[in-house]
Amino acid sequence: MKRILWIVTAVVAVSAITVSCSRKVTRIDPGEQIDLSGRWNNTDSRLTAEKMIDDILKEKWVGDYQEGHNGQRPVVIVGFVTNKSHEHIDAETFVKDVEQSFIKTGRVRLVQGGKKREELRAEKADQQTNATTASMKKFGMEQGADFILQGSINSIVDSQKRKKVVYYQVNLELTNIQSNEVVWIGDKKIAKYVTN
Amino acid sequence: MVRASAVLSLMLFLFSCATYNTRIGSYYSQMVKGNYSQADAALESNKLLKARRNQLLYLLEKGKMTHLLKQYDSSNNYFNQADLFMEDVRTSAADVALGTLLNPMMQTYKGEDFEKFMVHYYKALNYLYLGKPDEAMVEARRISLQSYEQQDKSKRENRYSDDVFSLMLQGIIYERGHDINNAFISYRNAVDIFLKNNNQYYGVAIPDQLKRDLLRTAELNGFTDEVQRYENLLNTRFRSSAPSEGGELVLFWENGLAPVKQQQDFFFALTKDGLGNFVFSDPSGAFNIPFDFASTHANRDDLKLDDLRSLRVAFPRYQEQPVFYRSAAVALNNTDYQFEPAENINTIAFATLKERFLKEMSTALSRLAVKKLAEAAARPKKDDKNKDTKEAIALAIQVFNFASEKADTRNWQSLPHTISYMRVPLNRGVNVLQLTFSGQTAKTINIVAEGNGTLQLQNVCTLR
Repeated sequence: MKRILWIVTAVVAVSAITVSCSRKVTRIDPGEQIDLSGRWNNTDSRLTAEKMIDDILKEKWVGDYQEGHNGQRPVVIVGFVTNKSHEHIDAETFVKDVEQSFIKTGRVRLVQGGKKREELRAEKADQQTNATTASMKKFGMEQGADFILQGSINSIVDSQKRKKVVYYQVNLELTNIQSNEVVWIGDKKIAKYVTN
Repeated sequence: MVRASAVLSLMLFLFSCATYNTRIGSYYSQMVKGNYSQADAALESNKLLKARRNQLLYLLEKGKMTHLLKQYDSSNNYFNQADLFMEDVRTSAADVALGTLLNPMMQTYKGEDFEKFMVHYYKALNYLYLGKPDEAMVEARRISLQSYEQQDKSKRENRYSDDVFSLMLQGIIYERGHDINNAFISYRNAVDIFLKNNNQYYGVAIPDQLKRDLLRTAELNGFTDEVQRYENLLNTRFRSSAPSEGGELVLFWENGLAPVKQQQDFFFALTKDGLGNFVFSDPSGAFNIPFDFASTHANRDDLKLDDLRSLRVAFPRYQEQPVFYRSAAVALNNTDYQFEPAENINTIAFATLKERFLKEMSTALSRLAVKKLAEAAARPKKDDKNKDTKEAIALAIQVFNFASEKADTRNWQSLPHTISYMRVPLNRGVNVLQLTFSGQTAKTINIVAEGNGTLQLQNVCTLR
């Protein structure tokens, strides 16, 4: 009898220790670097944003524009960042940081593009019939952009058995809308070595 | 002896040898006949499905049944619960103990890998039927998370590490939401899996529709280099065509039913190899399965070969549910459209069970060995004073072990056998598509789609 009890207790007791414990959640600093899977994560997005912000505001295109336009600040619109990588990557997370830096430093003016611009126009259209004449916003008064910021994300994956190197390259470029001249190009390269 | 017989009759009462399929038989038969309301009632009155350990199966079956009843809101309520359940469920100590001391059927059901993907398919369809495209996009994103989890789980090659149909579906949902860039990534990931596996993945050949979808979205994104690359890889030419005025309909045909699990008995003997390792071998010598010390926590010193002569282990095996309809085609405006296979759940089920056979058999055998040890330990010695009592206890344990040995025969049985799909260009206004199923008999049904210039999704089910 003793042995049966021993086996039964051992199975139950040891299994209780070794099975996964209940879920635990801890809040962390968003700036903390924690790499779990080797896929694109918040740290990559943050590093990309930091590098791009640093590059784009340091370069001389802002000064050049101001010199030629009586000290006026350039107006930028953010276009599309195409994703050609192997993963679904949300470019908005780092593009928003770049946009925020434009506003914060006050060196560049920003206008809305894409879906938000359509929504603004729809709102203006709605105001034509529903708002008072005094408060109604007019069509054709938008601030035209001088430059458009566009980009692409590419990746290369090289793997063998349980080892993998993932390489990401994020490119952003700024083009003068009038002249099609590319005035700035920035990139961020990220390479990760993953072993399983 | 009286006590032993009492235990025997109690055990036989507690552990019937019926499989999961037979125990939910009334629900199953109503569903096959298309009596969804009666099937739903049978589901509600089934005690087995109400057990806490079977909660996931209840949620999955309810989700599918309410989907068939066109109660899409309720369906997603059940599927969302199932989705969260599968995400949060952990192996508990009680589960391990029950699995070791009784049988795996007593453990909490956590879902087959392909079942996890199918939840997103039904949820996406339900959300689109409810006119909530943004929620459907969430499902597209969740497919990525599920895929990552699956890839991380099956690190070894030649394993079910991706669900290619889910990637194709993900592309369609993104395209439906005008996110052509992400649609391209999904289609390309799906194509890459086919290319890596010689254009064949778990019983499905690379669909021509997928090739067209990949090249079209690459071109729409302006990725001309990718168009050229995949034209060469797929040995096909991209033909640009103007989008149809009424938009397009992606039609999914869910045919038949997923295989059900039956119980199969294997006989093994525990032996010690030259290196002193304990292995289970079967009489034919086809299997040599190591003792799994980790899962049973058994002590090496307690393994006495004399006590473990022969072991009967019950293991699940799939049984195919033959399909009634063999093919189907759609006619619209004097043009015929053919379905292409997109997912073969029958093949995936058989293949995935085979892939994990060795690991699960090792766990099952080790579990049995522990039970046998307990039985041997209770047996009286020659000079025992309480010989009769001990013999009765040993017999009771033996009977209990015999009666409780059972394979886990649970699975989500209302899933289809196969899913095929096609993309039909629509005219503006009302389109009536004639869908003809052929097999042992033929059947034609009409499907109505309002051509409004967008991409639409619909599914039809033939359950027998």
